[in-house]
Amino acid sequence: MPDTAADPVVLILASRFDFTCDYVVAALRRRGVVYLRLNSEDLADCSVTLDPVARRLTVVLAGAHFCVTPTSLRSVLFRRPVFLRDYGDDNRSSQDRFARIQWAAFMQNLALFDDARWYNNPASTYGAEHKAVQLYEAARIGMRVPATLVTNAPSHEDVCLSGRQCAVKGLDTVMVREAGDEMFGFTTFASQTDCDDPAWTSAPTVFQEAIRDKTDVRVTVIDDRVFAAEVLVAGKGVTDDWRLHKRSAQFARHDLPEEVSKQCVELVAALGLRYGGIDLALSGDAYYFLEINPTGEWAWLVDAAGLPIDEAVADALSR
Amino acid sequence: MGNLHPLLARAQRYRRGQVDLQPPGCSYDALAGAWRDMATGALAVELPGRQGPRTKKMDIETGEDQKGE
Repeated sequence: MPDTAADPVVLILASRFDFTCDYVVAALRRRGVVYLRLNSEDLADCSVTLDPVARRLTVVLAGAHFCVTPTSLRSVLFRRPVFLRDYGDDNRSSQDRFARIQWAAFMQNLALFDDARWYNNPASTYGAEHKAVQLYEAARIGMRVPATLVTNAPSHEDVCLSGRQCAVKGLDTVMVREAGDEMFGFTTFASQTDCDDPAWTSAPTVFQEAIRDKTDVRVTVIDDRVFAAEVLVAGKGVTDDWRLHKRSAQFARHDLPEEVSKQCVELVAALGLRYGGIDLALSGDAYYFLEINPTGEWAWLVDAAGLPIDEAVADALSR
Repeated sequence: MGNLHPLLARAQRYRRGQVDLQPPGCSYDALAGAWRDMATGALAVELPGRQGPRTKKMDIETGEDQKGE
């Protein structure tokens, strides 16, 4: 007979290898908050039953019995993909593929606990993942946005203004697998002559005014709390994609102007989110919005920049 | 390769290996919902120096929206 645990106040939907959640768990434990972490790869080892009309989730996990109801549940930390990509070389068995899809759907179906505060609700995350939507909303609330076109027909005039290079990136993550290899595309640059390549027509691409003399600033928003860190390599900002230099990158706390900070909070809310990892580029005294990651990572900034984001997330979840 | 989209042509290509994600010296505590240091029993993220779990942003890129999928 399983032991009955107290009803969870916080539900964490994750993977056991999503170490960011370990930071949240530690902070919740320091607060004495009752939580339940469900990992997608562990669900088959649990007994899980969802009554959608009564809105009752019962879980037997490692010999303990948990009951999640709208009465007790205050918040949900949703750390799973809102869609599963087809990478083209799925070597999983049919049983594994089937189970993966069904468990992903199960986690998303927990959205029926809509009285709880979701960080973030998967439906909102899905809508906010789209780069064009992000840029429109950011511009609408007054953020500075680089001139951008999404096109499969780049022209010299439209894309590479004044003969300068522009930044190019995928409209979605550029990642494919082939014959045991993996390919990942970082933001790169194109000149006017690059526009002549007929291969652009095969897929839409984001062409964006290049902000060369920049410092990348990563802004983490949780409700109305804002944490900003600048990315430096050898003490300076980098001209290209900082992830290409991440082994030597350093992260330092950054003080955002109050107006920019408020705009970041406003953007997260405008997209229907409670959490967002926002990429800004600082050039001169101008902050440019690049993108927002509704499921963006942050835990590395706790140690690297001394930002107590784990505590802020735990505060938000346990309110 | 002539028709390869420029973003794909410029992508970094690397061999997909079997990545052992398990933090060394740790075991997963399902009830606690966190990795524990096997030597001390402490949560790995609370160890001094935090030599245990690393977050994905500092590891292989898979896009932040896929959470390691």
